[in-house]
Amino acid sequence: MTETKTKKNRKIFGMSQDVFMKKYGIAIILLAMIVFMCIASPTFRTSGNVISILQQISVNGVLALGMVFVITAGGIDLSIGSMLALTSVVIGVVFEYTSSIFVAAAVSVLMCGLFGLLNGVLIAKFNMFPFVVTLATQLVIRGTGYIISDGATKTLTNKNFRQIGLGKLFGVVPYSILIFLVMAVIAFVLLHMTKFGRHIYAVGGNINAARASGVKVFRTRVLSFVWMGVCAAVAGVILTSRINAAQPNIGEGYETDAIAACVIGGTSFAGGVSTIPGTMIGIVIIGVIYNGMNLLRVSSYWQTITKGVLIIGAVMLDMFLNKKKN
Amino acid sequence: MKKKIFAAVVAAAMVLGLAACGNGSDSEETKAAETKAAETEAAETEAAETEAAETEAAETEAAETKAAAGDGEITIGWLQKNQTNAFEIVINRGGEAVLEKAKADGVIKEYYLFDGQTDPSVQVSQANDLVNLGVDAVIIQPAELDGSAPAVDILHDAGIPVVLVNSLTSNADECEGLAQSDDVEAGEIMANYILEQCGETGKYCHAQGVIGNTAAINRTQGIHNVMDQQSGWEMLEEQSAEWLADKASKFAQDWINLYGDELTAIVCDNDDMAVAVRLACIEANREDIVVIGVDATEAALAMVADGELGASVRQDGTTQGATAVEMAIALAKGETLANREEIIPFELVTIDNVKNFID
Repeated sequence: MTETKTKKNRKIFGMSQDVFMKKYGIAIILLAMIVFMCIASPTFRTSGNVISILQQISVNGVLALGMVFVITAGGIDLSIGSMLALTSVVIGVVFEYTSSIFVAAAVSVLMCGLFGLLNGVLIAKFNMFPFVVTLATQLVIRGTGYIISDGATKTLTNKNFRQIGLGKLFGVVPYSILIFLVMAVIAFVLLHMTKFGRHIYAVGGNINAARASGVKVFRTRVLSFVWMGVCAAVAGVILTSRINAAQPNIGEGYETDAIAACVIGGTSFAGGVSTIPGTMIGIVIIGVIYNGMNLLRVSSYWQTITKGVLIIGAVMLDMFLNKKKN
Repeated sequence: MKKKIFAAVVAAAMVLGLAACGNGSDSEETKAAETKAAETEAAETEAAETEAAETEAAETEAAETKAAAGDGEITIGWLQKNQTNAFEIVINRGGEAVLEKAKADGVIKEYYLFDGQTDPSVQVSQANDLVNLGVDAVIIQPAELDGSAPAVDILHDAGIPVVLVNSLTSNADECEGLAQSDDVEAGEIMANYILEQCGETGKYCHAQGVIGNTAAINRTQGIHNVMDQQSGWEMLEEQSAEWLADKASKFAQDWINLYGDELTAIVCDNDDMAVAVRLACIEANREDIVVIGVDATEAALAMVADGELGASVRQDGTTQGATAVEMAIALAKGETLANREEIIPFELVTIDNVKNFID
């Protein structure tokens, strides 16, 4: 990257090359990937495949939209995979009992929100490490799911529920994508246009300075985890409807993809740095990589390795960009 | 605060440990005392109360014989693969019903069920626990072919008979009993169903289970046994979706986009994947794609009954579990088994016979 330094004086769209690369570098990577895939696989650019990608990223996307708040506020949440399973199980019970999608979704949002609250309070009140707390609560949450379901997978006999994951508005746009986009708009407004969002950045950037300037640190940190819980429940609703079954053992490894999407999208693990558009790009990049590897017929063993390499690459990128900032 | 909790946990663990030790020595002492008393009594009353003496003596003898066999009464241990996956629960429930009945009837005194969490190292340490508990026979559903083999070794070396249920370990020849189904057969049934539905030509994809798992290997083998003989059939893809519904769903979507009308069938190693794959086909307006899986889960059977899923291959987990437990009890009693290996057959479930399998 010495090249970048020597060309520092060059301007792109009125920005120095550094600033431009930092802001939009990741979008350029995505564009390059899309161009490559369009050439490499004729299937990639079909409208059917584009819709498939959007559908496939909707679960991880909603999770990442929650995770970006938590990481920006200086935390991390490893319990979201378990929350997906809990949501699935809760839906299995509540939806079969009430036949109401709304009630089932509301109860899951409530339950995951409460577990988010628990995470937040343990972390913010007792000043415990978010990594350790959520590593522990994921066990509690998954266990709760096993107890509610008695460990068994339950089919949703009422077919209305699968419309969320499989149904389409006007026969074109799947509802799952719409849910994802609505959540993205809400996240954007929350993070970039409200006091809560500014407090998230303040707490993640410098917690002592934030406290000194009157930010309610405890409330902000707790709320970031509650929002994560709500997002996990929404993602769980989509996932459950996609597989049309209440399964207590699903959702393992989903936290990795959500964290990776945030980090690829420019969210710094140091806290205080992130954008919703960046996170969205991170989500799409992961979706394109998975879809692309399937279309290019890469074996699933290599897909697993790629996922790991990807995260390391993203973190290195993050460190490189932050070093530059300082 | 943290220190206190830690101290409490340690204290609790110690108390439990002590209680366990105490129980053990207590009961031994009691037994010894009882036996002595019985002997003394028997000697004293030898002349006078002949009847009573005989009864006492008989009891003492019986107690001594049992003590020689082990700790008195029959106890059974079961290293379950896990207590969370849908199919393992079927096996567990099938066997637990037999255990519960045997306990109620007084055939066995106690049984121990351990959750192996699909982790062979957990199973190995649990095997040691069962040796310490002094059980008379053990059922194992191995988490892995090689990984769980040391668990069998430990029990075998301790002289405890072992019955393997559902899948094998690499040292299965050390085991006294086997209650198995042949997964190769399941693969062949699936492949034959595809041929029957789609005719002599076509192209198919295969969503596999976790690589290295015996069931996944054998089902794959069975599919290839049949399909590789067919000159009109070509396999487009074979990918591991790791038994998972959501992964299989993504593969199915991508395959449909990639191969379009060429794709005639998708074979899945289990029903969790088959159900999700079938839903993805329905969503893509490709209801013509024939999908089949193994396990006959509740979800799959519901779809078969509705005509949404062609068929499932049923592995009779209930009978597997029940058979294994019956074998273990027989071995614990010191009986010899009529057959060392019991094969529980797979069966094809279609809309014609699905009613027999839905509660």
